[in-house]
Amino acid sequence: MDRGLSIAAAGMVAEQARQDQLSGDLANAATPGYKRDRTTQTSFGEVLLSNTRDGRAVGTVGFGPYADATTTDLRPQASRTTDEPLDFAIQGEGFFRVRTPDGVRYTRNGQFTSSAAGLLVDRAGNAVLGADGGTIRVGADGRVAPGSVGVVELRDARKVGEGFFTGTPAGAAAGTVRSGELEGSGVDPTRAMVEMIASLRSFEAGQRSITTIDGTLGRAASQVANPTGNA
Amino acid sequence: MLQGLYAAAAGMSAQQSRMDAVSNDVANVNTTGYKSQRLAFRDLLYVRQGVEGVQVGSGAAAETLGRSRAQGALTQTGRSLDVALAGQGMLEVRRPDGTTALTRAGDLQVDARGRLTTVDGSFVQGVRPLPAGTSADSLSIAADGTVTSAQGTQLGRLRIVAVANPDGLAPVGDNLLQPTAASGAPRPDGATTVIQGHLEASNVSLADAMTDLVESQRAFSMASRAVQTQDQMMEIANGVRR
Repeated sequence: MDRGLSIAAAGMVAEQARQDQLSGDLANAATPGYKRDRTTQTSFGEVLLSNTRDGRAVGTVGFGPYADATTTDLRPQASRTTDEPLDFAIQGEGFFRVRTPDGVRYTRNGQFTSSAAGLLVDRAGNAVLGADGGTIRVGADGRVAPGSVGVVELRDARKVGEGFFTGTPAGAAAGTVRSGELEGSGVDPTRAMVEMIASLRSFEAGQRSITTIDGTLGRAASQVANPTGNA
Repeated sequence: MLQGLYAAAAGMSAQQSRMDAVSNDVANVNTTGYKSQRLAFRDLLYVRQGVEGVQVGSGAAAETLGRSRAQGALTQTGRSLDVALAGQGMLEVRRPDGTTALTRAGDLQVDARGRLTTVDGSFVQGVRPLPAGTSADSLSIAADGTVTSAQGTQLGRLRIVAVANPDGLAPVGDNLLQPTAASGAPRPDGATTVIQGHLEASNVSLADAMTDLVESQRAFSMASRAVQTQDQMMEIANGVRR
């Protein structure tokens, strides 16, 4: 009986993690180059139940699900035109390289600007690296040739926040850079809303299971051995 | 549990900043030489929840990235003292308090002593005062900024300058911007051409601004739905103990 309680509680905890992630996605529904997260749920190991009298197996019982890992959907998204000379989007695979105080970071958010020294930098003033690995100078006309901005392929890309990814660079990527465009957010609002409702209802079902089991336990505790049968 | 609630709230506040910026752009749709604001969005730090290794984000943030550098449309006015700039350069002017400022609003005037000024009374640099009896309407201004009177006398050349980082310029009102350490010192800019008889319109496109407004409003309401759902979940969790 108490096993049912913990199974239902595990389900609620897993849905909570999913819900937190969906909130993060919805908050970034308009962030350029944002990549959507997904939680995968796995069930705890199952155990075999057996009859206590003759030892015959009666079947398996699980211990409920848990959220075990996050996967990021890295598929490229459609770009939108901004006509801003220092906005860049990558058509296809690949990441921009940015030199931060913590080391080189990778991003698909191409909202860049120029520094006082005339270099192409991101919003925090980190230098954007070119195809040759050096910094990029903004021309006198306020533009940068899209081809001079470096795009690299990244293995094991992992989000670290501030729009950045880390991972292992693996040479030049197939994607091409276009200026005056920004990549849209990878969040699909309809899907996120549907998942949110589904998750909310699963959470609610978990709560109902707990209250039902609680009620059954209560009856067992007060009614069994009560000759009149009244609680 | 509260992580998701705050992430959604951060998303709402980022969209609020965007709506504020777009509203300001729309208000300046007819301001000569106005450049729309650029807003940068980013996701916030990720935290690992529990031992399972589920990565949960903290929401989104918006911050100003400076001004757009896209050229505004040129509108023909036919007035000889209206100049539009094609390129990244700006007119250098001296404000009445003696400080230097830069502007792209080229609707110039002539004051009582023949000096070229901007609308707010700052003096345009590089040009001598007009000799008495010279009509302001007869001035011709060449593409490189050289000002010539009807009699053929050269009065000087409009000082067109550019800075390395226009986003670092400090706005001081009246369409004027002041150079700062972040913008870099102004240097002469030969790439910009002067077009007489035209003004540069605001580069705000109403169609784009409206699309932005709708998108940001929808993103705002989605984030607020996430807040509501988180609230509902807390209520349900609260109902476990009857």
